Amino acid sequence: MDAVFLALIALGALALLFGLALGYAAIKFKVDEDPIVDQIDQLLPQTQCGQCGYPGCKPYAKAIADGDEINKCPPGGDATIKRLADLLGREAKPLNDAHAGPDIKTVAYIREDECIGCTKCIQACPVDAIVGAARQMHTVIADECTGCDLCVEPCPVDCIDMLPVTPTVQTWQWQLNEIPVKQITTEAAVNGGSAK
Amino acid sequence: MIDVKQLLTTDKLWDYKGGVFPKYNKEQSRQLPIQPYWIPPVVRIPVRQHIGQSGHINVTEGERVLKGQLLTEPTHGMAVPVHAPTSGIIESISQGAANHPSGLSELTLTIRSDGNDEWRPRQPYANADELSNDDLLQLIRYAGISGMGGAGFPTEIKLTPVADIKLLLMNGAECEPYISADDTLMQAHANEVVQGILLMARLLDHPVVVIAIEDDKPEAIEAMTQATADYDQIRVRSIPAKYPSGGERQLIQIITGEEVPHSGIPADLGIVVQNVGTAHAVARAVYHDEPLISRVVTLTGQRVLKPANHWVLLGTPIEDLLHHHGLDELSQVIVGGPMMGYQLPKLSGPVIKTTNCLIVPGQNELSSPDNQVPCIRCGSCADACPVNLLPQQLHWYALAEDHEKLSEHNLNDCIECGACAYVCPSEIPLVLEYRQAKAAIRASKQEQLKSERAKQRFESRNLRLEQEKIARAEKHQQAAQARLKAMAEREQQASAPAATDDKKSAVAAALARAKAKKAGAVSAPPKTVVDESGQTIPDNRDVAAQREARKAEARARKAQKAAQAVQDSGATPTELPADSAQQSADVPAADNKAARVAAAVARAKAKRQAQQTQADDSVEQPAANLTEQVTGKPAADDKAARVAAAVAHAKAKRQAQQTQAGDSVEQPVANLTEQVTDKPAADDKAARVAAAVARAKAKRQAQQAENQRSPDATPRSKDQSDS
Repeated sequence: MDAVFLALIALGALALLFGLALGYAAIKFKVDEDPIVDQIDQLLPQTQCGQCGYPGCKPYAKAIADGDEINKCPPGGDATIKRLADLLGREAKPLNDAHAGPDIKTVAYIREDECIGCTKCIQACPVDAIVGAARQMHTVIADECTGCDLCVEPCPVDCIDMLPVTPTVQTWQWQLNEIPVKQITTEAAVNGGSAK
Repeated sequence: MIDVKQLLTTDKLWDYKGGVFPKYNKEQSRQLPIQPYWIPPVVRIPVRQHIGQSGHINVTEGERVLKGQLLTEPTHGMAVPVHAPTSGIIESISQGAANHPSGLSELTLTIRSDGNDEWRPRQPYANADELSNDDLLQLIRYAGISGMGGAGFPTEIKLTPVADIKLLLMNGAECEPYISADDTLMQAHANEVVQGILLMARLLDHPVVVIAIEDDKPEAIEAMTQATADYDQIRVRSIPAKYPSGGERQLIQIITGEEVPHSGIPADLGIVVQNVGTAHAVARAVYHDEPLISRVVTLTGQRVLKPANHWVLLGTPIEDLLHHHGLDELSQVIVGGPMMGYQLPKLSGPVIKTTNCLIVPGQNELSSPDNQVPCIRCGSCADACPVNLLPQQLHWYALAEDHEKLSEHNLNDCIECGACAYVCPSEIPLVLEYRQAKAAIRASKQEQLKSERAKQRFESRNLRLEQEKIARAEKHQQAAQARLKAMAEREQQASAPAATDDKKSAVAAALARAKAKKAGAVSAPPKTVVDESGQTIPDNRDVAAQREARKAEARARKAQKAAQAVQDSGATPTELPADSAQQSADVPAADNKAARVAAAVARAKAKRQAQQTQADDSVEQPAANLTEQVTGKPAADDKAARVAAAVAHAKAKRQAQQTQAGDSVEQPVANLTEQVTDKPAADDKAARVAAAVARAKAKRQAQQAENQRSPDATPRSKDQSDS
């Protein structure tokens, strides 16, 4: 009987000890935010365009962590959906039609001589990529523009265009099938074969 | 580390794994002399011809430039300037066909040459010892010299020592088939090449110099050995011909037996590799003050009648060059060698600093891999790879676009030499796949960087907005507190004489306040009228009348001022009718500034009208009128127009106020709008303004359409405006 009591006491003491340790750890190492939100946020394209229905990428990341669908991000496209599916162990779905938009990268362009300097687009830009002042012409910092087109709607004179990004010599991706270029190899070597 | 002294005496050469032995085809073009340059009618100079950024263009269209004149200013580290290769007029600065496999355009300066080939004033140095090292580096930089062997890395940066350089390796291997540009250059200008080498060696604090030349160029080896006979720090080494021995890392391995670390650069081993052509360019720049404006280009291939090496002015359109040498029907031109070169999609692309060879192949000279078959995993490619990669694995991963695996298999170490594709029995265009994969990886990295930046900007913007909000709230609070305090003080002053003690005074004050309120309520009952529909609405007529009076006064003042202004400016002295708007209409206008002002006013008005419309649907008609009228008006005279604009502005404002107050709207607006009318539209700007206004209008209408939610909204607003 003694042995049983002893065992109960010992186990109880251990339980108490571990309980305390866990309780302490829970307070000491408390995570303020779900770390998965940051991981999701990393995968999102950060255009802050709001096409998902949330006011930015982080809110959408939070919503995904809370169980929202992963297929609401048109700028990210299928690649992002696939990565999110991998991260969250969910099924990859095709992009939700309600959120689908044209699949071309664009950048905002202000027709400067039509700009009246109302600053409305500046207030709309989520990444501060438009410079200008009241009654001064505005312009877009193309390098910083994410192509979210949030500035187009507020413009009272409709002088903002979303232009597709054209590839330059530096960003070109060797899509040789688009133009008639062939890879070149010489005829069979006279000396023959490769060096071993 | 390498024992460099030993390199001067030893006969030992190392080897690297892999490599191939293609048919060299250099005999056709290697004979001397190098043909003199030809001045084309037009030269096209891309502003960026190297790795890095372009400089800042410092010439304008229509300007005459002299041969050797700086066309772009190198404004930052990796920028290399370009120069006019011959004298002429800058015809255009625009996007032009690039010498690039994509066939895309890039910023190009087009010069129509005048045929005089007139030099800018030159100040050659007879003795380079006069120059300090820094001056020499600047001179090299401003001569626009970038690596002439392959990639085109800015030479000046490579010659600015970052580490202790023990070996300067001169690359004269020229291992790729067909090309013999460096070969002939070394034969014909060995002394100048050596002069350049000495200058480079001086900048690197006199390291040991080894000039490596493949053994299929005996004449070049001979010439260089003779030219360097006097210098015991320089040694010419003959290396076995094998492709790609001319690769920077491969050459280092052959000469020193050392391998450049995976993510390192040769300077980590104390080695700098330079092309012999670059050395020649340095010598020309210092001793002849001749910037890099021409280079040796091998013109070869079965369709070229007389394959040879030519001096070619940089910027010479390849098409024109080949026409000049008797080639008319051009179907295929390859820039560079057959292993690493590319077919030029647009023949109007120019010769640039890195163009060493142009091949116009015959029908069956070069095979094209139309008959690609699946990979059989024979492993020949892995044997041929000079950098120990596994090309067939890379092939599968590239097909699967598995970027992670590609990086794991060190795709970035691939030098794109084409040896794997050359030996592939299935004729798979392996290098092309790798290039695509590399570009895709680069793009996705760039994307990631960009999204990271966007995130930061978004977050800092949110932070800023938050702070602004807090600051505003604080300010409001402070203001409110100040008001409260002032009120309390006033009350205290008022009640102080009556009250004997604090409590009493407070009570008295409260009572007084209540009484005052009551009295106010009784003495001034809110004026109201009852409109037709039987609704009681507040009567603002008194207030409106007062406002009207004030405005009339203001108008009169403004009219006077305007009149003054018009007379001062000496413009057509118009008679000033009581209604100032009339006069604004009559002022003729013509120039840019005025038109712009008018445009701005028109837009502002349109916008304001739009806002009004949203508030009160009944204003739609007059608003449209107003905007139309302002549009058609061209302006003639700065001042007058500005006056007109100001008047129109004021009027619009007044109208807006009236409308908002709920007074009868239609009449005055209609009046107003009539006044600014009847002017013939004249110039471009006016048309553009009209367009902008039309757009604004269209937008507003669209918004209205959306806003017209209930059918009863319109009748109600009509009632109001009628009352």
